[in-house]
Amino acid sequence: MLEARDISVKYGGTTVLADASLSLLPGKITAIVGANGAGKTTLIKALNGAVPISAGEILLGGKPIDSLTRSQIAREVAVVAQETESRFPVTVREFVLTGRFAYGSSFGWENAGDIDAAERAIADCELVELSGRLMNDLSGGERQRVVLARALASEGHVLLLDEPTANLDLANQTLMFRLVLERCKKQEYAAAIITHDLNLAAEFADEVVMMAKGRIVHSGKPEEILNAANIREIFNVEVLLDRNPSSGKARVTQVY
Amino acid sequence: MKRAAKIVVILFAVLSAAVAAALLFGAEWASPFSQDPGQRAIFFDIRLPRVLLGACVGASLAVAGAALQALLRNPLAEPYLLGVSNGAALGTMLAFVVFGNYVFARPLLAFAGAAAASVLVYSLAKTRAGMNVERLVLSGVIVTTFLSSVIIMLTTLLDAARLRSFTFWLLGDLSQATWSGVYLSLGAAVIATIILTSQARALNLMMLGERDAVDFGVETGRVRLVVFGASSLVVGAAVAASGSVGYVGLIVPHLLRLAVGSDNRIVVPMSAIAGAAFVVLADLAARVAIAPRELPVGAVTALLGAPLFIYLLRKN
Repeated sequence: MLEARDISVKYGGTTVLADASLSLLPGKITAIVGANGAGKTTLIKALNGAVPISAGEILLGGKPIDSLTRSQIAREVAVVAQETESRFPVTVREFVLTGRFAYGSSFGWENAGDIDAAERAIADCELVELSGRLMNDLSGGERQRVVLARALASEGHVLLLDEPTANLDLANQTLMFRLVLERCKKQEYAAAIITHDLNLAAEFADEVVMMAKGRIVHSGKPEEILNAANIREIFNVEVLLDRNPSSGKARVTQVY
Repeated sequence: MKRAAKIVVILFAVLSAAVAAALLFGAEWASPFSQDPGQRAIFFDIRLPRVLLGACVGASLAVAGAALQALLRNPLAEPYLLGVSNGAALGTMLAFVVFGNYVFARPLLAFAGAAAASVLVYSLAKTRAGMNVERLVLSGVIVTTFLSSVIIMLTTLLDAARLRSFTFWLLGDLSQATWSGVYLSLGAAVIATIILTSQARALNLMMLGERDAVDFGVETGRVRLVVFGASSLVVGAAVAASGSVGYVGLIVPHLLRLAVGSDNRIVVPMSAIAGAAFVVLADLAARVAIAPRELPVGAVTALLGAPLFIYLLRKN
């Protein structure tokens, strides 16, 4: 669905992402892990063409991404990034409706289909009661859910999530992953998700990509990739591995 | 939507009342039906173009302010404070000094000056990490003061009589309204309001963040070009006709957002109507406050705008 082949990104003269290859397939969640500054966010930004690549190619539905307009890309690829605070008062509903921009009509107003998509996303993300509230009045967890709702409202079948669970409490983290998982399993969405939580990656991801110094150094199924040697190499920490007693998935415990 | 429709009706009512009051009142009462030809002349030949010009200038500055604020994600962005008005003022003065009374040179060079100042302040404020409120405001101050000093140097080329009228004009002055100024300003205001409103949905995303806009399908470079272009056009026309009337683009969109929220599809076009009413009323105040003498309208708007600016800066 979305495929990157040997892509590199340069900021100024410095290479921040080198020779990265990645395939996001329908129904599959790919977790991207790595230390701060490893190039994870740059990879996500490159995947929807938000930053230009200096080498390689990105194919969206088989077409080179640089041959598509921003609207064409936005109808296929939805992004959940860390939201910065706006200085303008915007309601939850208005915020979610901005996710429909790429479908825009000539008069610039949403049609019934846009409003329907936004309302379904608001309901899915359990935001119905908050829909008239201002974004700046919400808690961090609620805001992040609104950002996800906007991505879902855009109906892009590729979800790119940049640390969607950072700063969220346990209940909101679980809700966030459950919502992404549902879309991937039931509606054949493809998702790439940057996370620092290796246990969430092990639990929910079909594939894990480990990054260091602008490169993808390991990728594969979580049970193959998440081992003590790889984690030591990437994060420079010691861990113990066993199985989560309830799900049977790999469980990472840090040794201090 | 219902609330928005109600506010459109209210704004049009306020604008009509403001225009009527500004035509009738002043240093002395003037009626269009008077038997006295002197009164009719005051009404039709002096006040009518002045009031209409004030409405066009107010609409122009407010609509440009609303769009620039959303584009730059900064409620303090405003043509006067960003230096865009001073860019237009410098262009107008250059046209006056170099091309004399050739009538189209002034708005053209005013537009060029406004566009150049926009680009300059934007490139000064922009860093790789983005743009914060303080950096944009500081860049505006730098551009404004630099352009002011160039303007002051140019005024030394003027004789004493012209110097006084130029000083008044620089502060924002509607007393030299002409019909050609009204037509030009009206045309620019209508065109720019349509263009800027057409970008309003994209501005709703730009207002949230550059990355939000790119991710959800906005061609940000094109929107930036269109908004800077249209606001330079309208500010250029307004300044060429009436000088730098400050703070209109700050006050009007701010008050509107309190009433109707932040949707630019409503805020941008309504700013034009509300801005027109605001400047017409401010000019009425400027004419009657110390009658029979007059204040420049820019002094009245600045008197109201500067405290609001401080309030908004502290709130940020």
